[in-house]
Amino acid sequence: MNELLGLVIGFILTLLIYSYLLGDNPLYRLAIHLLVGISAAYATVIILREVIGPVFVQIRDNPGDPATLLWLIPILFALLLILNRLPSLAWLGQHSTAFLVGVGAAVALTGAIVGTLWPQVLATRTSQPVTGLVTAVLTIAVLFTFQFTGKRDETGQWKRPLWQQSLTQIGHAVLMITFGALFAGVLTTSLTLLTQQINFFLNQFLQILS
Amino acid sequence: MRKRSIPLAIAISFGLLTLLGLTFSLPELSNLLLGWAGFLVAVALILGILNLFVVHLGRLRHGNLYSGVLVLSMLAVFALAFTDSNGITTNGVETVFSWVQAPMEAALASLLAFFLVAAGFQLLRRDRSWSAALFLGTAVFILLSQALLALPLPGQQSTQILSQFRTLINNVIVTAGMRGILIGVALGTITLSLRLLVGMERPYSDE
Repeated sequence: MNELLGLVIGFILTLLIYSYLLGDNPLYRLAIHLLVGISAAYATVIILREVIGPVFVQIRDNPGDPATLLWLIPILFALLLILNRLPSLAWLGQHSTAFLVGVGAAVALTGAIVGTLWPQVLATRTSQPVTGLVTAVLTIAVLFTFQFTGKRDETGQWKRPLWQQSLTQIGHAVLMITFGALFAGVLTTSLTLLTQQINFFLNQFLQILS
Repeated sequence: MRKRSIPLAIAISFGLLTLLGLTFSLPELSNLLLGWAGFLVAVALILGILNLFVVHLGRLRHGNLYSGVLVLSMLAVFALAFTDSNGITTNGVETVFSWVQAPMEAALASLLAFFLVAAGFQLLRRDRSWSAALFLGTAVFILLSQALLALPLPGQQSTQILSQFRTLINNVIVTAGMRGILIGVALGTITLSLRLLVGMERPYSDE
């Protein structure tokens, strides 16, 4: 009985979402507001259960432990963040934001070097030298597309040198082909999701009817 | 002056400490600081969600029924979380997730197919440049080749040519494009992170 109820609720909500295909309408807006409310509340519950709750349990169980006392620093930062809501004391919240920015920058820096830049440079070494060389040249062409600095000519117009212009054109073409392939990939994935969703409801209802 | 210098000192000192912990593999230091940052992000998220609740509560007072749905749905999940933790109900929050949130998210994700096709047609109508043609041409080729390769084509040679051309696009051009984008993003991230760590960028201050 419970399964059937869940299935019917899910089916009705799916139809409400699909009603957007007929244009923006009250049923779709209702469904979206419901989704936002439930997702936000669900996220809050999970955060309280998994992140904030255990910290307070640790403080309650071992109040004198040095590891527990260290948690007073982020709790102080959290209190300063809450003070951000008060206009006269909002500047105190900058300290917490500064902490997050500092730690975030360090993580991003390490992640970009170790997780992206270095593996991508290493991946240019392939068993087929010609393919590797062409890929490397095209990669450099793409990187030139992202370069937006240069010298101005006599008329004050900013222009790239001639050799860069052709390289940039190649890079632009490579980017367009890449985006086209990515577009096709995302479209295929969403079509698969659509057919799976329809299949799921059809199978479930057929099972119940039989 | 102090109002500006203390946040700067906090950003630089904690940033460099985290960098030290991550670079020289000091898990005690890096885990401690990342744990603190995770806790603070969690608090910031909750503050944001509470702000959402307060804003929609205000709109409900002005008669916005959609905001009423949002507020009620939030209250319902909070109530279920409370009854779950007191043993009155079991897995109430998880049931709402699997009955309401999961099907709606799946429906939204599958709706993306229609939006993408519509966006493709809009692009074809509005922008008739060579780059738009290249973009759509590649997308159509990849989609068609996927379908054609799954079907038995007359003659093995045509299938082989199609497959080779598709491999060339994927293994050389798309790989180069993705690598260029990733390296570009990484270089941008490195530059911005270094500027933040030396205090040249201060997004946390009012300056």
